[in-house]
Amino acid sequence: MPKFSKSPWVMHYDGSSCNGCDIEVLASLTPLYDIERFGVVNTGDPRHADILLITGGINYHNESVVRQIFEQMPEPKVVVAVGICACSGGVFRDCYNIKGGVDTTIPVDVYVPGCAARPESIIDGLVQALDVLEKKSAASAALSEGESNAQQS
Amino acid sequence: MKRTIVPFGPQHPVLPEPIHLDLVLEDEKVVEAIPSFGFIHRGMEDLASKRDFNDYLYVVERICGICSYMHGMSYCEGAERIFGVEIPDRAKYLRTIWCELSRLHSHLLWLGLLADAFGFEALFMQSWRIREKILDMVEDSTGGRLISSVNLIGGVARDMDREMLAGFVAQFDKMESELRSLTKVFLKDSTVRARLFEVGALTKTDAILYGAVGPMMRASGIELDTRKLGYAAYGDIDFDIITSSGCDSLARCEVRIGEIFQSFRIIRQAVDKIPDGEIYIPVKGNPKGEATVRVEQPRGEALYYMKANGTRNLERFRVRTPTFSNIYSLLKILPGAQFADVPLLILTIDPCISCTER
Amino acid sequence: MAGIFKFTKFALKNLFTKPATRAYPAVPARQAPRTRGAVQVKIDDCIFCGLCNRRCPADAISVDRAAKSWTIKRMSCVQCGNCVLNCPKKCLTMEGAYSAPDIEKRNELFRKAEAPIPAVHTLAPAPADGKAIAPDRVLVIDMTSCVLCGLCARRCPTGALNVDRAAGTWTVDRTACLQCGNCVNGCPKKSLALVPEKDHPTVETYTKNAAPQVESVQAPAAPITAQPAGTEGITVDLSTCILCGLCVRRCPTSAIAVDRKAGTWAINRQSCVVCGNCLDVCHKHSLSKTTEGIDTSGVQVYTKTAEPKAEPAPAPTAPEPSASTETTAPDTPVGNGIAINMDTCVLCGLCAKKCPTAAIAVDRAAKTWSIKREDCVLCGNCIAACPKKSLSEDEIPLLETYTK
Repeated sequence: MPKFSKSPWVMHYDGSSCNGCDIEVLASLTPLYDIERFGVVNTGDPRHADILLITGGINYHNESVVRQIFEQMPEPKVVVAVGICACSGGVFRDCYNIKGGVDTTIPVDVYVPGCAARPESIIDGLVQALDVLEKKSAASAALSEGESNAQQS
Repeated sequence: MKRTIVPFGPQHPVLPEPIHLDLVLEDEKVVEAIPSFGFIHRGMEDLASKRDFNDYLYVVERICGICSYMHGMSYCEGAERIFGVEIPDRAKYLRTIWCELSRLHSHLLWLGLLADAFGFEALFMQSWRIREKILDMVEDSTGGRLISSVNLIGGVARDMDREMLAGFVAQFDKMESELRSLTKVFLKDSTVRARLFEVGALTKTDAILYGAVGPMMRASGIELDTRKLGYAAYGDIDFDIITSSGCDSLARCEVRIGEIFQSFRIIRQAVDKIPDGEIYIPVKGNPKGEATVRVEQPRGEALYYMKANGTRNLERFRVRTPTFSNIYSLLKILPGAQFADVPLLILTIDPCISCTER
Repeated sequence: MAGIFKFTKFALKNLFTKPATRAYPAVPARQAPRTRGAVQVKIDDCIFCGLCNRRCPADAISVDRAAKSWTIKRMSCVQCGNCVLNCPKKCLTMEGAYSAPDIEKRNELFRKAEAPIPAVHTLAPAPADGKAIAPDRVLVIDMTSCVLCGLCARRCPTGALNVDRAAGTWTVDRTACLQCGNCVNGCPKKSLALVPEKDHPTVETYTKNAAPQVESVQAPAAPITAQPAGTEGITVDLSTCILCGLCVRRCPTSAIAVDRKAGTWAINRQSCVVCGNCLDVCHKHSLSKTTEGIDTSGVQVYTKTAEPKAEPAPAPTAPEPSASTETTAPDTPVGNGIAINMDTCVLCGLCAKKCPTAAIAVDRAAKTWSIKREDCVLCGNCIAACPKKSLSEDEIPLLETYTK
């Protein structure tokens, strides 16, 4: 049984963010905060990723992009909305091009508040996401075991 | 020769921002680049008609997280010009110091991302490690690492007293010597040079023709810097305009590194010359009139136009950001480049797509 | 010169220096003193005016005036600090710690302790036209108990109330009323209330049924309502009272009169609303509320039996050594008075501002400090106000002018 929480692979995508939260996500990878000591690897390919870190709100242009990335990620997967814009639209929620936070398009598992979200908050959010990932992995493993038992009998 | 079209973006591992380019390739050489932007467009100028002009300041700060301080400062400067108030001198010097800290953090960020783009991850980590010290200084003085929320129409909200400023300057000596060794790697190491030398050349004529601004223009030999206009306290401070005649990516690297050391010099002078006094004068009433402000963002010259009609909402707030001008230069240098150099070339203009698309 | 291995020095130094990493979560998160984290509210000071709601660029704060609650959406707050800057009661602060990440978007609700929990709890959005009317609560008054003291009008932050004692009327402008409840809390007779009634006009005037009272400062007024015996009233301890007259100035119904020459302190029990303002302001703590010896039918006069302390002593004592250059006239009386040390005095003028009888004058240009001894009531306000502790009460030659 693979333990995902020992080395989750993270993918970061910016959907209409001001770059503040993206820079803080990158800063989490740099020596001062260093999420790599938890085994986290930053990958560019959604098919390699377990956790999706999304910043910025959803607008009409990037809605389909975000949904496609989400669908390309293999199960079990966790979505972490980093920053207030990703949680609820932030100061831009009245703009004509913004639909809202990330949860208008894809299901979000952890919300990380902050404008720009501090690297420490992102680490906290990641740790919570790992718990959710473990639960999902255990649930899907139980499901597949049940199926294979049903097939055998 | 057969041509292939490769879609680059909006999700790609090398750049933190979503842009989309359709690259037309012949073998590995880029023949044409067709851009498709708009992923970060939020509609901020329309928001000016819905928000009180005092509260809109907090929206303007969030146009971009990297250039955030100067956006907020320029908005306040424009509003102050419409009201016709002159802010106290101490506030001007404080704004200058924060502007230069913002420039330092932006250039160090760019150096790190450039190193990541040509594969030298250790340089990326070292640059950002030094950058964290600047961010600690910004957090100690304003309360936020990137979004500072310290400007107000009429001055600044927080003061930096003598001990705080002396503490910052005391750290600069060590940082400068570390940066000298680090930038020597960027400029002198032969593997780095192989990736940067004669890549993405933009001649002086083309730079003027395509309207390049900022370090992009200064690396092609044009000696212009909007800070010499004398806004905030720049009129009293002595600094050089860094130019280079190389016209390629290495020259742009040289120019930005030169600007880092000039920023240290400017902050030291500002700390010596800062006068005592008030930092804020209250401004009452609604604005009525127009104002144009030009500032030197880390990426180049930014132009802000504000129009107010006496109500609490601004009628127009238009920003022309430096990346908007530099994109044409990008589309000029991409054809003829190798496919593997494309991320590097996009980074060499120091793109800030969220500023451009707002 | 271009060369290879330029990074080696850095890499080797890295091997031998300690790690640059902040081992969060093993070490706590870095927090500067000015770090802007989460917004907190002191709900007891909040008047539910809704300014924070209007100023929030992310619309994270909601204020429900009826239910006396203040709600913040933690996942919408961008920590800009605009609400903290604009709160008129300064009840909002920015804490250094950020809100924690969560698996769902929670709102945090703060409710005032004494507010009743309503059956239906709604979060009403701020009205778009900026006017502050909650359609279900209006301010009304019971004129039978109202004594037209005017305390409610003074406490109203928007000036929505007007009290005319001469005409006997009380008027409310409901378009300006914020339903903050300041007047309801401040009324000494508990005549005001915020009630869920409809069909009240936007501007309403109530009139007292009894004959209108003529406002007089020192003469006793005709009785308004007969107060039963055993009622609480204000009494004075004349052994400590210095007849400074501060209580006269603070009384909202002008019920007190002080005569320094005669040494009397008088109170009109019919006008006195027992609000306690005079107790708050008396420096000598001579006033108190009691139920004994209170005659509520009219004016009660208390007379000082001992000699008042402001009389100068008949013979001067040995001449005081003084450092400042004042000319000592041969017949200057010596007695108990306010003494000043001109060496430490900076001529700031705070003592002149605080003097209730305007006895002190400070001339910065001429560098003089002067006092009219017959107006000085030795209340001690100036001594308390002096930032340089230059003033004191002492047995001194009672000069009137001192120069630096």
